[in-house]
Amino acid sequence: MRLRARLGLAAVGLTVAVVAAFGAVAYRSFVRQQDEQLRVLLAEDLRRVTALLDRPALGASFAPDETGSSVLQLVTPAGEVAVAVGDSEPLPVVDVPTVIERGGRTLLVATGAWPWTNGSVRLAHDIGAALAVRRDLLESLVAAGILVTLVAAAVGLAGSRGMLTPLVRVARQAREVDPAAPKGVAYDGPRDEIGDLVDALNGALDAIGQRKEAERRFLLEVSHELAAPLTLVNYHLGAVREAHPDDPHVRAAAEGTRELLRTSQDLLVLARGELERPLEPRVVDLRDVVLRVADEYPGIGLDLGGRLEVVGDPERLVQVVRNLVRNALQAVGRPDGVEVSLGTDDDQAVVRVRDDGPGMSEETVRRAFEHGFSGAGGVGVGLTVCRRLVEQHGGELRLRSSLGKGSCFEVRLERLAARLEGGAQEPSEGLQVGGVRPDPAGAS
Amino acid sequence: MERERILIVEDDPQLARALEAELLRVYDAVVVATGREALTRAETEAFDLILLDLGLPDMDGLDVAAELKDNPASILMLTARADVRSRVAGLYIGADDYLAKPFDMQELLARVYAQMRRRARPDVYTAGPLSLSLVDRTCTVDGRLLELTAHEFNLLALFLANQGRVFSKHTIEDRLYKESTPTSNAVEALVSRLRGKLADAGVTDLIETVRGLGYVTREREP
Repeated sequence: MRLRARLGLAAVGLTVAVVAAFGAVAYRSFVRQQDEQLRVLLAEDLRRVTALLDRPALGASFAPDETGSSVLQLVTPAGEVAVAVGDSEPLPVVDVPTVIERGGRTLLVATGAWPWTNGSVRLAHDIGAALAVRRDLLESLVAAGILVTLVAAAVGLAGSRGMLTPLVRVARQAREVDPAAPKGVAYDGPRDEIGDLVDALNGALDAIGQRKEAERRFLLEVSHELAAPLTLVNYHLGAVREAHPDDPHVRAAAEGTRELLRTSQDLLVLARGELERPLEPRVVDLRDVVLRVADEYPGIGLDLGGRLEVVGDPERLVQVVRNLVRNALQAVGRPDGVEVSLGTDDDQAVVRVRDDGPGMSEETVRRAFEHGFSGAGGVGVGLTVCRRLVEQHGGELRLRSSLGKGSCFEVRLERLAARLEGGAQEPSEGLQVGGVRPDPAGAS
Repeated sequence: MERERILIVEDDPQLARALEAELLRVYDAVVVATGREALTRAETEAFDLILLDLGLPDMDGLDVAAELKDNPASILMLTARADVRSRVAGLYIGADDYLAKPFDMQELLARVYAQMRRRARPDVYTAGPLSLSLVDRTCTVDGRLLELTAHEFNLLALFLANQGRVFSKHTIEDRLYKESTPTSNAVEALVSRLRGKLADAGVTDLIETVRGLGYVTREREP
């Protein structure tokens, strides 16, 4: 149950309890007083009757009221009713005033001694009217209680909502915290429990952010330290390879170093956490991207088709396709088991890198893009970088793979044609844009 | 034809030697190891390109770039300081491109080549019947003169000189209106007027709108 509902219910429950308690106390005290009054009245009347019987005074009289709401009986010791006013059915003998029901009436009965005889005086008051007042009071109390409870419920719900608004705001901000760069949530409320919660949350986010920053800096430092020597080793091994093209050791060393260089470039992209050059989007023909990668990895299969344009950074797109091809080559071990194809799907341009390698288990596919995860087939940093770069291009990286059936990565990017206002139009024929180089002689 | 000249500013002697050896195959290359030397050489000699390492022993490479802002040479920054802010600052200060270490020598050569090609700007651009001369600042379609304002001419030149690049309104503003601050929709209006004039002369679809990004003149297939 939501906290708001619980608080509202608590408010209602509390109100009900308080109202019921107050109502019960008030009602009981009223009933007790009324009882007391009725008994006093009855005792008084009984005293007056017996006094009159004891010493009849001139002019003194006792007249049960005309409404017939009282019953007076003088009963002989034999139990016969000698005198009866109001009702001749003998009333019971009681020690203390007692309530009885008779003929649809509620009577309060008291018994006294009949002076000079061994008989008794029995007097009863009809207390129906008093009981009706009691009932009315009870009904009024219950009605008032219900009303107060309803009002309390409404006020309680509204109040709890007001009290919880800062919490809801904090939660909303917390949900929007960017995991890559966690920032604290804003809160300008009082230093109460919510304030404490926000402080604790912001403290935790801050600590995480600092830790992340420290890790990023460490990664930068490491990459930095490796950068110059790696550039040099890669360069010189390249030169050695040119000099000894047939030496398998040299070839392996040169290729390994090149991979090392690519991986450290990937690490740098991750460490920076953003696209290196977001400044110059270009119209890129994906065929050029794939052909550049194919140049680096001769022997892979190609299925390119016609011009396929997207908007992006050509260097980064090359990095994406290169990583996917490298990945596939590592899985298969031979270039003819890898094919790169271009196609379209509605408004999307699709680069598919397929291999007929061992494929991946469901678990590996599921975790393939996790940062730093390395399953079978060299899945790891490279793929994480790929996905980041593709997402920074507003696209999507997909993976389909199953054991024994090979893997297929798909880079999906919005086609330029879908982004052009006025619809897709191939550049008109005969609109070759060319240039005339400046004449060095004429320029000077 | 004279070889293009490159000034290599790099304090790591081994890397400097490797760069020199590679670049000397195609270009004329000179190596210096400090920012001071770089500024002195750049002042007294003409270079086409300055290959500038950001991490120098005596000066911050960014300061060197700032002082070289008015030098006609292109600047290609080399950096191991893998910090986005310094990258962006580098481009802002006036570097034309940059490359992060570690890099593949082929990659560096490609970037250098691209810079050199960019420097070799043609004096006249043609696009079908359209011809734009930067020398006498005229634009003709099928030989007939097309009257353009200075801003319209500069905009058309910008697109033709940077085919394939998508320009945001903001970038166009920066490039075209250096001194004054234009009104909010000035670029849109300018593009619209230029398109109108081109369309009247029979040239359509030269400048296209990329939703959410800006405008582009696409490279045509050769």
